[in-house]
Amino acid sequence: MTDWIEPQLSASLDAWRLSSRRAPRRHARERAYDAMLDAIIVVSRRPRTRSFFSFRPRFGHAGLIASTATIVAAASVAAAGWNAPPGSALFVVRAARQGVMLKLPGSDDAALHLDFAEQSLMDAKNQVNPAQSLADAATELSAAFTELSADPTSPLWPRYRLDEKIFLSESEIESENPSPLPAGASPRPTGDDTPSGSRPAQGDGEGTPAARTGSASPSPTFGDGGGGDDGGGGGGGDSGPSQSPGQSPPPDN
Amino acid sequence: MIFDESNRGGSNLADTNRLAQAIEAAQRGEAHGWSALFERFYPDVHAYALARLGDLTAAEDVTQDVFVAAVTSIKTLRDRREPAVQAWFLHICRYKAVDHIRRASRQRGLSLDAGPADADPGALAEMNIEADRVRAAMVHLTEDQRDILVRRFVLDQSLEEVASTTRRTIGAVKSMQHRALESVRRALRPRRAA
Repeated sequence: MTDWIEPQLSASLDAWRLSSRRAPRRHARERAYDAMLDAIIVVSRRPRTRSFFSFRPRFGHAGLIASTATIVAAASVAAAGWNAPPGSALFVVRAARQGVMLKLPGSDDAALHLDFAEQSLMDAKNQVNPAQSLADAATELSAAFTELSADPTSPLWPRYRLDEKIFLSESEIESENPSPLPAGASPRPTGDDTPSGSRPAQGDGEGTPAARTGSASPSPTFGDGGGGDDGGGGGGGDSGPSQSPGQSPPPDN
Repeated sequence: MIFDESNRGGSNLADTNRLAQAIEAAQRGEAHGWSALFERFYPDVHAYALARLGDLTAAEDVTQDVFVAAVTSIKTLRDRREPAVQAWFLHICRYKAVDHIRRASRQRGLSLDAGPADADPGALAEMNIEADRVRAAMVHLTEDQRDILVRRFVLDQSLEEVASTTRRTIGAVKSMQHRALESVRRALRPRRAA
């Protein structure tokens, strides 16, 4: 290996080589072997590192089950209460949903109030707590009227008149067979501060929403006899809201 | 016997397949795989450490550290051919030896340039004295030059082997070896002259 190097340097390198190639001492070799075996044991016992996403705490399964159960329960309550009838325990869910829908930016409040009114009218028609349903419908119709008053050309006016007619019809039926308002019935969210006096007034006896709320202006007043218009544009069989002084008349169809 | 040639290449792992099997077993944490690797590479690692440190006890300690460190990092070993495995062990040994020298220098308050202070307290033979002089001359080399000299003149690796394991061209290894030897020769000359 060092033949090609000058003799003096070659001798030094050979001495270095031989000195370095001395046999290791037996006890040192055994000590190294034992240390290596100990390291093997330590490494085999060391827990494997987990990535962040595979890390699971000790009670990871219980936590996962609890979280899933909570989500499922919340979803079930929301689904059950989405269209809960008035007076039911889950009606608060429906009221909250309607309140949220009204507060969403860009929502058409008039259309929403009409939607809610129609839903309440459907409840009344199906004899689901009709007194409360009609009261809710009256509130929603009143709120819809307030919204629509700002736009006499709104295409929602015919729909409003139809809903109004249904309301009067249902109110008439309800007045003939009054049902008590359930205790603890909560008022409907309307999305605005429409006072109770702005509900559609029917002029019937007690037990009906109109009788409870009166017919304060400025609010639409429903003509007697189920939808007869007292001026203001409702022609033919079309019943429109009676206008309080100072209110602009709804457009004719 | 101060020079044990019996371990040089006299391994049970001459066959490449057996070496690969031993590495696979070691990577699974099986002791028999590690035993085979230990028998095959302990002498080379020990020689490398002794060539760098000059102190038998220190070389034994470093060699032990190398195999303990290898246990924790065996999974990173991909190439299972013998030269690559040997290079992997020597790579660990190289850094363990440097770390040992630095640690010893701090403990003794010596600088790295001072070289190994006591090669082997019990050895008074001319060979060891000359070997210590070579080691002292090598402190002026770069780490890569020292590594190449150990591989070439202690482990008897060919230029091709050194080039392969250090990922250099043969020409580059030749050039580094030439400069390293010239530096050692210059370092040894004044003492001879004196």
